[in-house]
Amino acid sequence: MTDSKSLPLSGLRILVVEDEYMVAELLTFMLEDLGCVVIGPFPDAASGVAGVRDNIIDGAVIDANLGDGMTSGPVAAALQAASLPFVVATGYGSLILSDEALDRAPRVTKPFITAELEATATATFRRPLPAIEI
Amino acid sequence: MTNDDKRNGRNSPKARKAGSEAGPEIDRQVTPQLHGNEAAEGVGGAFPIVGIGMSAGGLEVATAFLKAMPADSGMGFVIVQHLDPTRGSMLAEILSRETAMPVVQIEDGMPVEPNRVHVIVPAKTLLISDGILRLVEPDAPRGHRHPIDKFFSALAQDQKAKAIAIVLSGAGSNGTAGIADIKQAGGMCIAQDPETARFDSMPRHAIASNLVDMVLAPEAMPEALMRYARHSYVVAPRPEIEADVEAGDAPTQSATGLDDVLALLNARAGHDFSQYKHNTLSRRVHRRMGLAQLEDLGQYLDLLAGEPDEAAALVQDLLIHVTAFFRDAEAWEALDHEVITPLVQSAQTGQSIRVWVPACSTGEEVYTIAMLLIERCEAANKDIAIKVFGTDTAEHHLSEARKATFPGSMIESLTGERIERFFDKLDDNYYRVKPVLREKVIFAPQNVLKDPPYSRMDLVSCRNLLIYLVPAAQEKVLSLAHFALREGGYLFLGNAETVGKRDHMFECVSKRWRIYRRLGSGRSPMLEFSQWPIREEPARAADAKPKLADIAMKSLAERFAPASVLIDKNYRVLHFHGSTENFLTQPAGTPTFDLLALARGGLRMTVRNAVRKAIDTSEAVTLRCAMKGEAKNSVAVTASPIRGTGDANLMVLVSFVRSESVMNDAPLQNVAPVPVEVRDIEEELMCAREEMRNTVERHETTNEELTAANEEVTSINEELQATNEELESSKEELQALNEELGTINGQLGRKISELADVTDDLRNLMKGSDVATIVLDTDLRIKWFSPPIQSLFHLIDSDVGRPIANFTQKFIFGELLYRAKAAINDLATFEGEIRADDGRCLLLRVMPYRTQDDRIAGAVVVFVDVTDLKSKQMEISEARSFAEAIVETVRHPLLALGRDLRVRSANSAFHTTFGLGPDEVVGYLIYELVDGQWNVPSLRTLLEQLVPEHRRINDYEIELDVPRLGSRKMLMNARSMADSQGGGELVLLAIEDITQRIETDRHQELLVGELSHRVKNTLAVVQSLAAQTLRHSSSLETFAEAFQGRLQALARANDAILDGNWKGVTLRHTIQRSLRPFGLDDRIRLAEGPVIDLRPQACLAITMILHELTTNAVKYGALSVQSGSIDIAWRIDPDGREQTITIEWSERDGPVVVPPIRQGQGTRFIEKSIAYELSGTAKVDFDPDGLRATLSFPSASSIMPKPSLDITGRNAPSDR
Repeated sequence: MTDSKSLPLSGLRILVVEDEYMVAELLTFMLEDLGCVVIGPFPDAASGVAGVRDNIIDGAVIDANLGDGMTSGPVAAALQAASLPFVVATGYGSLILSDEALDRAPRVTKPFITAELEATATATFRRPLPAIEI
Repeated sequence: MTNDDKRNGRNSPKARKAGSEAGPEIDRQVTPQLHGNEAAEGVGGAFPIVGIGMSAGGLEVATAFLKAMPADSGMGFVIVQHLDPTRGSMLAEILSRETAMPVVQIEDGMPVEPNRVHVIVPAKTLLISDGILRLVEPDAPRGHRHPIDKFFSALAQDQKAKAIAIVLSGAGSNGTAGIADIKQAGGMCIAQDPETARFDSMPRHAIASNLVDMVLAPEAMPEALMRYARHSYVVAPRPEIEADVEAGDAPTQSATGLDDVLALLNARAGHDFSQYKHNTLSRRVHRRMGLAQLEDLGQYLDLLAGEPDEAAALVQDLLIHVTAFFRDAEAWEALDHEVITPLVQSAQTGQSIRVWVPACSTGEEVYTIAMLLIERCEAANKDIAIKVFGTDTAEHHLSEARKATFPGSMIESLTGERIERFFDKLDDNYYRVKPVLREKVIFAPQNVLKDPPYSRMDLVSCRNLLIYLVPAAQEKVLSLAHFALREGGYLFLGNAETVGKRDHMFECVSKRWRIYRRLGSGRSPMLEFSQWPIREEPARAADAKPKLADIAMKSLAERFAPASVLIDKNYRVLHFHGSTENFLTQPAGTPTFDLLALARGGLRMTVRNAVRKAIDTSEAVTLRCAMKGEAKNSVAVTASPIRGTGDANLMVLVSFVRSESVMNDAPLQNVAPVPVEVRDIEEELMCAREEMRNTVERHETTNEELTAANEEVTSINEELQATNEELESSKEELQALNEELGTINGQLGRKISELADVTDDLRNLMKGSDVATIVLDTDLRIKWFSPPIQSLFHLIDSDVGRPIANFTQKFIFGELLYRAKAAINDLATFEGEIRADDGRCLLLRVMPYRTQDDRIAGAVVVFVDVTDLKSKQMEISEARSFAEAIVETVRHPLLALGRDLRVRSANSAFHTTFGLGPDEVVGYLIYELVDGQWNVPSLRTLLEQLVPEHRRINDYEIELDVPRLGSRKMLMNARSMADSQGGGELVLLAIEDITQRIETDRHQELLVGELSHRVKNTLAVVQSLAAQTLRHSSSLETFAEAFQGRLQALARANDAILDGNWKGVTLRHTIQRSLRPFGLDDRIRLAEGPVIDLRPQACLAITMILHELTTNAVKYGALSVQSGSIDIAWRIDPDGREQTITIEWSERDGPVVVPPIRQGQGTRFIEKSIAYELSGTAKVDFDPDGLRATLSFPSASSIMPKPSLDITGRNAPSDR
C-alpha cells in the first residue's frame, strides 16, 4: 500500500494472533500501515504456535485472551523460546494477566490507537536482540 | 513436840519484815519488851480498836462499811489511807455524812475513843501508844512508806487481843506485814473480799499471807466485828500467866480440855504441841473460839473434830513466828564480835567451822550466820570450810529454805554490800541466794526432841525455841546443845532465853545477848534421859491385904532364909530380904540401889562374879569370900537366877550367909598352919585373880564386839554416804524435773490461752457463719447447737441434754431422727434439700460426729440456707439456656473449649458440618477432632497461647478435608473468656466455611476482567467495522448507512449474547434477533431445526453474516420487492467424526439475480469471517431465481460444550 521503506517498521515480519476476525483484520491493516509484513493472523493458540514455528518472523502482536478461556500463553512461550519480541494486545488494560510471560510483555490496549501501537511496536521490535534475552 | 514453832505465815513474804522494816520507833518499843510470843500478846485496852487500812478505791468501801456499822458498837475506828501529802483531805468530811458516829481528823496526842471514827491526816505516819494516837514525820521517802503496816504494828503492840485490822481495797501490798503483827499479838484480821474491791491487790496480798481470819464483803464486816468484840476472849480474857521459862508449867484448869485439843491436833494435823506452853496454847485456842463465836471448849472441840479447816487454822495460829535476816541486829553484832571472829581467828586454814541451827524455819538465820562466817573468813583471808546446818521438822519450811529465794522486802534491809555479795536479783522483785552462800548451807529434816543430835559443832544457834517449851523440854534441848557442841563451842540463844541453872554446862560469854560457851569435856548426864519410857517398877503388893499363908511364908522366910536381895540383871536392887546390914550399906551421896555400890568392902567382886556366873550358867552359884575387917568370917554369896516371864525379866536372888565354920574348918584340915592374915590375903588374891581373869575375858569379848560394831558402823556410814550421794543426785534430778515441770506448766498455760483463742475463733466463726447446727450425742440428745438453729427448733440454752425428738421442728422433713441414727450407726452421711415452714429452702446435712481419736460420738446436723442460692441457680440456668439457644441459632460451627483445650460443648452447626455426634466431640482435645486436622503446629501455638496470654485468634485460615463436602477452606476465630466460676477460662472457637465465598470472589474478579476484555474487544470490533466500512464506502452517506447497519447488527448480536448470559444462544434466537430490525418477519421464514446452542463468538459471527445477507437481500435481492421472501433452514450433518452445522439461505420471488462482476465486500466478509471464526465455509450461489447461501461450519468450534456450569444459577434459555 504505502512505501514500506519510509515507514518505521518497514519490512519487519510480524506475526499476529487474534481470535476475533474483525479485530484481526483491523490489526493487520494497522500493522501493514506501519510497514510491517503481517504473518497470519492466526485465530487460536495452536495455529499461533505453528505460525511461530513455521515462519521467519521478527516479532509478534498477540491477543492475550483468545476466547472461551483460552490464552495466548503457549504462543508467548514459543516466542520466548525463540527469543522473539512480542507485544500483547489486550482489553484488560493494566489488569494482571494470569500468564507470566504475557503479563511481563509490553502491551497495547484495545481499542487500538495508532500512535500507541506504533510506539510500542517500534520500542519492542527495534530493540537489539541481546537485550531481550534477559 | 516439834520445833515448828519458828514458822510464820511464810506465804507472805511481807509478813517477815515486820521486825526489820517497821522503823526504828517500832523496834525500840518492841525489842526491850520481847519475851517471846507472850510478850506480844495481852489484854490491851478497855475496848477494841479497829484499824482500817485502805488505798485506791477505799472510800466507797469505807462508806459502805461505816453505814452498816452500828453507832454504839463500843469500838474505836482508825482509818489509815494513802494520801497525797501535799493536799488536804476531805475524807473525814465525806465519811461523817455516812455514819452517825463522829468522825474526827487525828491530831497528835488524841486518844482513841469508842464509837468514834479517827481519820489519818496527810503526810504523817500514824502510831498508837497506850491508846493515844501519835503523828510522826515519815522516815521513808514517799513511795516506800507503808503507813498501814506501821499503824497495824503499833496497834498490835498497844492493843494486843483488842487490836483488829481490816484491809480494804487498794493497790500494792501495804497492810500485809502489819497484820502479821496483829495476828501474833492475838488480834483479829479481816480482809475485804477481793471480788468486791475495785483494787483487789491489797486484800489479795493479805489473804495470800494466810494471816487473815476472815474474808468478808464490807457490809458483812460490822456483824463479824460485833460478834468477835462480844466474845469473852476480847471482853474478859483470862489473866495472863506470866511466862517464866524456869517456872514449872503448873497444870491449869483448862489443861485437861487442852489435852483433848492437842490430841485432836496431833491426830488431825500431825502436829504434837504437847510440849508447848499451855498458857500460850490456851490463849490461842480461846482466840479461835472467839472467832468461831463459841464460849464452851467442848463445842470448840466438836468444831475442831468436824472441820479440818479449823484444825489447820489453829495450827497456823500456833505456829506463828517471825524471822528475818539479822533479826536483832545488835545481838548479831555481839555474836560476830564474841563468837564468829574468834572462831575464824583460831581456826587453821583447811579446818572447818560447823554451826547448827536447830528449828531453822525458812532459813534466814542460817543464811545470816553463813554470811557472817564468809565475811570473816574473807577478812582473815583464810580458807576455812564452813558448814552451817539448818534443821527443822517441817519439810515445807526446809524446801522454802533450800529454794533460797526471798522477797525484796526482806533482802532490802541488808546492806547494799551484802546484797551485792550474796544475792542475785530476780525479775519479780525477788532475790536468790548466790551459790557461794548457798553451798555453805545444808538443810536437813530433824526433830530436836526426838532425833539424834549433831555433834562437834562450833556454834549452836537456838534462838527463840526454848520460850515455847515446857521446862522439861527446855532442859533436854539445852542438854542436846551441850552434847552437840565441841568443847569450848558456843551457844546462842534468844533474847528471852537463858541456860538457867545449868551453869555447870555453860559459861556465860555475853549475858545481854545470851551467848554461852560449853563447859566440861564429858557428856552431860542429862543426855541419859531418853524418850524411852522408863520401865514401870513391879507393882507393889504392899497395899494389898496380906493372906495368912503369905504371912506364914514371910515369917518363915524371915526366920530361916538368909539375908538376900533380889536384883535385876543390871544389879539394880528390887527387893531386900532379911537383915542385910552386915553385907550391904548405903554409901554416902545419892541414895542408890546398885548392889555393887551397896556391897560392903570385899564383897563387891564376889557378888559380881557370882551374879555373872549365875546368869551365864542359869544355875545357882555360891562363892565365898572374906569380909574386910572381919577376917575370921567368910561370907558365902549365892546367886540364883530366877526366870520371870521372859528373858528381859531375868532376876537374880543374891543371898549372903556368914559361914565361920566353913571358913574355919578348911585351915584345920590344911597341913600348914598358915597365919590367918596370909590365908586371908591369899584367898583374896585368888578371888582377885579369878575376878581379873573374868574381867579380861569380858574385856576381850567386849573388844571384839566393839570391833564388829565399829565395822558395822563404818559400813553403815559408807552406806549413808552413798545414800546421801544418791539423795543429792535425786535432788538434782528433782530440781531438773521441777524445771521441766515449770516449762511444761508454762507450755500448758500457753496451750490453754491458745485454746481459749481457738474457742473464741470458733465461737465467732459460728456466730458469723449463720449456719444452723446441732450436735447430737449417740442417744440423740442435744449436745450443742448454734444460735441460728432457733428458727428451726424452739431451743434455749437449757435444752442441752434433752432428746431432740422432744422438739417440734419448723421444717418439712420426717426423717431427721432416722438419718441421725444412720449417721451414728452406719456412718451414713445424708444431704438433701428441705423446705422450712417460713418458706426458706435449706440444705440439710447429717453426718457422724467424729472425735479426735476417730470415735463416733454422735451426729452433726447442719442446715444451710440455700434460698438465695436456689434462685441464683435458677437465674444461672435460665441465662445458660438463653446462651445455649443463641449458640444453637448461630449457623457457623461453634466450639466451647476448656483451659485444657478439651471440648466442653459444641453447637448443632458443628455437629452437622463435621458430621460428629455430641459423644464424639465433648471431652475430646481439639486436636483429636476432624481426623486430627487441627493438629497443626501454628494453630497449636495460637491455641495454647490463647488462655495464658489472653490472646485472640483472628481469621486463621485452614483447609480441612470435611466428610461429604471434601476440602473446604475454613476461617477460625477464637476468644478466651473468663468462666463464670472465675478460675477456669473458656475458649470460644468459631469456624466459618469460606470455600464458597472465595469461589464467588474469584468468579467476580474473573467476571470483571472478562467484562473489561469484552467491552474493549467490542470497541476494537467497532473500530475495525468503522475502518473497513470506511475503506469500502464511496461516500460519507453510504459509509454512515452501512456503518449504522453493521453497528446495529453488532449490538443485536451482543443483545443475543447477553440474553444468553454469555452462556450461549440458540441458533434460532440468533437468527430471529438478526432479522428483527428489518421488520420483515413475515417474509423471512424459519424452518424447524435442531436446537443448537451457539457460542457467543459463533453467535456474533452468524449475526454479522446474516446482517450482510439481509442487507444485500433488501438492497438487491428478494426483499427488494414486495413479493420476495426468504427461507432459512439449518441442520446438523454428521461429517466423519465431527458434526457439521449447515444453514441454508434461500431467496425466492425476488428480482432476477445477476451474479456480480467482482466479488463484493459483503461476500468476501462472509467467507473470510466464517472461515476465520468458525473454521467453516460459505457458499454463495447467484441462482437467477434467488440468491442461495449455504453456511457450513463444524459444530465443535461453534456449539456450547455441554454440560456447562451455570454460575448465575439460572437454566439456559429454551430454544424459542
